[in-house]
Amino acid sequence: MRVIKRIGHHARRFVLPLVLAALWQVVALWLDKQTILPRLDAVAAVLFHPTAKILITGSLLENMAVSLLRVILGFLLAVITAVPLGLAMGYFKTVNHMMDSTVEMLRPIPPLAWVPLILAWMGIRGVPDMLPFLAASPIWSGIQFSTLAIIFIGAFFPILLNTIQGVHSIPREYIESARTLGAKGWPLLVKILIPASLPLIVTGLRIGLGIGWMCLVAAEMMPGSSSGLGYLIWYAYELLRADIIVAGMVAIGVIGFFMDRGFRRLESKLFWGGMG
Amino acid sequence: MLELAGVGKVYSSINGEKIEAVDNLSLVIVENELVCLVGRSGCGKTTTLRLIAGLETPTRGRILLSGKKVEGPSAERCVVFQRYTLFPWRSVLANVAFGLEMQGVSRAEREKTALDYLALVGLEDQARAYPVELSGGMQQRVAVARALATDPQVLLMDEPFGALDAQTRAVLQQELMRIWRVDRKTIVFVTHDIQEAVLLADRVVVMQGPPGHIREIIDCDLPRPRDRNSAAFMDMSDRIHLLLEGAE
Repeated sequence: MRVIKRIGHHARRFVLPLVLAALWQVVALWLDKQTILPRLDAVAAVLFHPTAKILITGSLLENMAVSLLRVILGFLLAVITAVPLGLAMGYFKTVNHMMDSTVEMLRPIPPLAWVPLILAWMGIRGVPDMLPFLAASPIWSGIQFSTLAIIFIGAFFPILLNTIQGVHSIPREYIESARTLGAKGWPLLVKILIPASLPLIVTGLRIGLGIGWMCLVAAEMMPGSSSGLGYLIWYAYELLRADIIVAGMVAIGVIGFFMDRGFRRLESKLFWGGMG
Repeated sequence: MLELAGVGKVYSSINGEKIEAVDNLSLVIVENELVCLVGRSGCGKTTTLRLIAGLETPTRGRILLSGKKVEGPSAERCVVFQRYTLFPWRSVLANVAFGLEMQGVSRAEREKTALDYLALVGLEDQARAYPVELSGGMQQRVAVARALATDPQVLLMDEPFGALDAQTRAVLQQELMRIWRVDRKTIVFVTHDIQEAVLLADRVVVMQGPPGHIREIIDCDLPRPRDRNSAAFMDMSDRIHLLLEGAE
């Protein structure tokens, strides 16, 4: 009985997606216009042949790899800048005072609004322009600095704000106990401040990665881009291939879902969040 | 010897308002003595402890430990707080070893010392556990072990048993007395619980405020172990109680 109950419990999650998919397919068959509403079997055909070449771009898998690399690079740039700045702003009142208004003014600007300026500044220069030995690599040759900058901006602020919040949420007693046990300077930072604020830092990383991923399509729409899931979607749009568009969207959704899952796993392991 | 001479602490808020937390407080605590600071909340007893710890800087007067001026926190003056005492991301053993780690003691050596101190508080079998797995009383015992492990000159305790239920608190008070007999430290113990003060202290410093100052210092010379129900114990409690009521 319990097994059936459990299967029933999990089956509930799939009811709505299945109903929606069936509805989609029925409408697509009835409408019979592949450019507006592609049939699901056409979408599935793209998804289930991930290594097949799509149009004149690479395969779905190659485009996924390029997109992932871009997001991870932009995200890492955000991590190595936002976490130290957040720790400093959280711990030192003077740093917070100096930076706070600037951050709050830049934060509401959507990453998309930066596109023209970033293009003016960075053009279509890519990583191989700086590291020529990467020019031969099909993946690295497609990594433009402007793309990374958009993803960086998207990921930066959630990481920064959560890190600041993480430091502020540390009970005063942790820091003071540590100081009266002889901790100061670097050990105080590494052994107390960072681990004590880690649960919220990881939340910031999860949100930052998610937003960076969401900026991807916008970033890959920019001139000079010739690969990636975002590029694939726009290229397919120009050729009115809605099946490829939907397949690209599904790929973005699935990857985003698993990245979020991974970080949530990590978060739940850092059980000390807010506990004493 | 711990010496407070004419110590005052004034906090100034952002809008220029001055709050006098401690005013002209002078007190000498000799080695191996257990002194309790009692008083109602806001009377400056915790500020006094924080000044001794070096977590606050006095605005007047000076604090000397063995003739040396107290400047900033140091492992010579370790504090046990009421809440959030242990680092939840570290095992019990790593918590107790933290102070020694900061002194650069090797891993094997500091873990051995930490185990000795865990044994002193009767928790050596919890060494691998994490703080969340321990009861509140056990956590405070570990905190005491952690503070003692660095062999401080003075142990500062800020209502360390204040968040515990009455039974656990009574057990820990007995434990502290047992530990103090084995590892006799100079202890400054802040509490608002008069009975706790009479049970533990060599001297009870009755404070009133704000601004915090000493109302009276009472020599608490009852023979140990002390019996809460003895006439002498109740007399002394009543006396302190009257002093605190008069402080209103």
